[in-house]
Amino acid sequence: MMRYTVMVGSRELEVVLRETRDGFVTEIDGRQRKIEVARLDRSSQYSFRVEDRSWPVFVERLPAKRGSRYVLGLRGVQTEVSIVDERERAAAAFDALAGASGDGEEKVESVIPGIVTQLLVALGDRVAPGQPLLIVEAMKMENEIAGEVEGVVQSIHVEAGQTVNAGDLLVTLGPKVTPNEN
Amino acid sequence: MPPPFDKVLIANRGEIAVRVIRTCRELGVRTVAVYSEADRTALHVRLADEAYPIGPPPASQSYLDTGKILEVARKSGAQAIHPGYGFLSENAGFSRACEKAGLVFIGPSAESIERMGDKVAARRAMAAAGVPIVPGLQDSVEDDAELEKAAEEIGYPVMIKAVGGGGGKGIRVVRDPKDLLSAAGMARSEASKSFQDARIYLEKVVETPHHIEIQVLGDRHGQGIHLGERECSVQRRHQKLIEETPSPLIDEATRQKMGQASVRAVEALGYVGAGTMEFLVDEQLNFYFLEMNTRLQVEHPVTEMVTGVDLVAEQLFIAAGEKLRLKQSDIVPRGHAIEARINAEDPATFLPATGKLRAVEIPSGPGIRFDGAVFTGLEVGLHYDPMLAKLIAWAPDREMALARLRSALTELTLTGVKTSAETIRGILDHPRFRSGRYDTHFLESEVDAIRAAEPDFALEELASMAAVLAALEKSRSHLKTEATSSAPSVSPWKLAGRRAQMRGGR
Repeated sequence: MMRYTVMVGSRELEVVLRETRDGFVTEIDGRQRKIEVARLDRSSQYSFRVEDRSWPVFVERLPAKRGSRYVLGLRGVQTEVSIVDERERAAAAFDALAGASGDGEEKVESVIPGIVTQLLVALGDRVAPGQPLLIVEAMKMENEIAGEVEGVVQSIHVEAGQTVNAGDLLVTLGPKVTPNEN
Repeated sequence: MPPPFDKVLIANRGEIAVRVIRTCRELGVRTVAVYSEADRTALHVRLADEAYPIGPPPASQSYLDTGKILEVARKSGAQAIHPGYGFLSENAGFSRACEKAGLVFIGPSAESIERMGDKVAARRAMAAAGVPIVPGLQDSVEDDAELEKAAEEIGYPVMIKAVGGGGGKGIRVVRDPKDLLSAAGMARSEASKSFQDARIYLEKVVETPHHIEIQVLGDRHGQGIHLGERECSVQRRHQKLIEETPSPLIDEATRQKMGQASVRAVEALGYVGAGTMEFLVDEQLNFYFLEMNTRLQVEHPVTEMVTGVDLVAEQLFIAAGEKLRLKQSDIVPRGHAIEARINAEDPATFLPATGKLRAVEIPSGPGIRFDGAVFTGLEVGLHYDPMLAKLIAWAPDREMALARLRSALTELTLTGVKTSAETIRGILDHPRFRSGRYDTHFLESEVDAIRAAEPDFALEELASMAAVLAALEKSRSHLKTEATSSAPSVSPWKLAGRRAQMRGGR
């Protein structure tokens, strides 16, 4: 038996999962569901049966710091889902506590596709939470990209003029500058 | 009928290039594709008979490079160039350059493009042809006192527009006379930056307008016909998202009047090719000419679905100098058609999205048409228009057409890039859209309700699936993966089935 915390947008659900001989049983808020799944070839396409209902599901894995992140495509609707198990959840809570007491670590990603027009920080700079790190221009609008933690600019992964996609790594913030890292 | 040309170059990319290639193939016309470095593996390159690189990804160095495109036309021996929409389709200079190079530009003359590109000249030409125009000035105004006097005469609220305008730039609505001069200043500066032409003029504001357009065709022999209307009021920032025909707003008498006015304009202008007369229509069904698009429109398929006419084929025959193959009485619209634009965009912000397409599943079934150029592995970047595809549904009536489109959307899967599909679903489920009572303000005013539309599944079901996937990542024992086992052979039934499919086609 495993306990998971599933996050969909701002909603958080506790899921208890049990393996059976021919599949799984989930329990959410006291209600049980029988789940059976098959994957089509090695594709991203899965066929789920939840109780007796059939769902074609397209699964895309996203990079996650901890646990898993998926985009699930069901009946034409794509939903991003994050999930952690008990152990991963405890570790995340510990990190959050540690982060609050001193310098944090963060990989700052671009939230939009665009072009990096300006870098506002240099390697080794100490930055405050919310301090703009660089500017990404998209649709002729300039967007300041900031981190959420206090820390030191450990590495800068882009240069001015470079085109970036949403989700691309821009800047890594850390407790101190690690030598021999670009 | 012999083919209108032996070989046509398509100076475009994406779904419209594929769309044009299909008709050319049907007619026995050989096709020449051009492509930028970003499009080496694009569908139009693979489907065309010949394909030539024309430069790096930025459009200014490839799809807008007149010199390179004409050079490919010469090298390949193409007789005509189809510009699609966007890029060079409304570029008078390109039309002229084609003519000079001895090539047929599949579209109107440079003079027609220029006249319709100048908003004031277009208004004058339409008024002269007896087409109603939005009340306002027929000339640009420079003098402040003259501007104030004119605004007073037209009656507030007034709209300041740029003579060289397009795409919503240089437009200002003024409700209070004291704001007029400052708004005029801003409009002039925006217009001069965007169009290198600071001239402005005034129009009356049409309140709660519908955007309804008439498809027209004109030949080189002075004949014109119209193919009915398209209702395009679902838009934001002047970008259309859903189009349908017939319009739920107008009645048969208005449809006839708008169609006849459009044909008068085509014949008076000597307009050649396919074009679209855009009108604003108010709740009292008064209609006013807005502008003319001198090219094929993105939303042309809805007209094709109800009329049975292939507009690209007609464009080709007209360009070859043939007389119109259709009379007005041949145009008998049947049923209802609706089109949804599938754009690469974040539904939460409407900003363009990028990425690589992973899973691609294209809907099909009775009355469904999919015009696209998508495939697994397609890199959706920022160089070009974010429209990926158009999903079109036809049915005998509007309710059924909406239901078909809604159903087809649940079969459409495009992962890896966010799309407008969820926004479309929200619109289709909105009671005001369903009732047909929507105007051009609908999408912007109802955006929150549209975004809040509930999906077809429960959150608990989704969470259960995610938990199962997470568990499978750790132990893959319960995953029934087809073809991952080392079992030697595919079932003979499956093989037999595949063979039968190959024999029987689709």
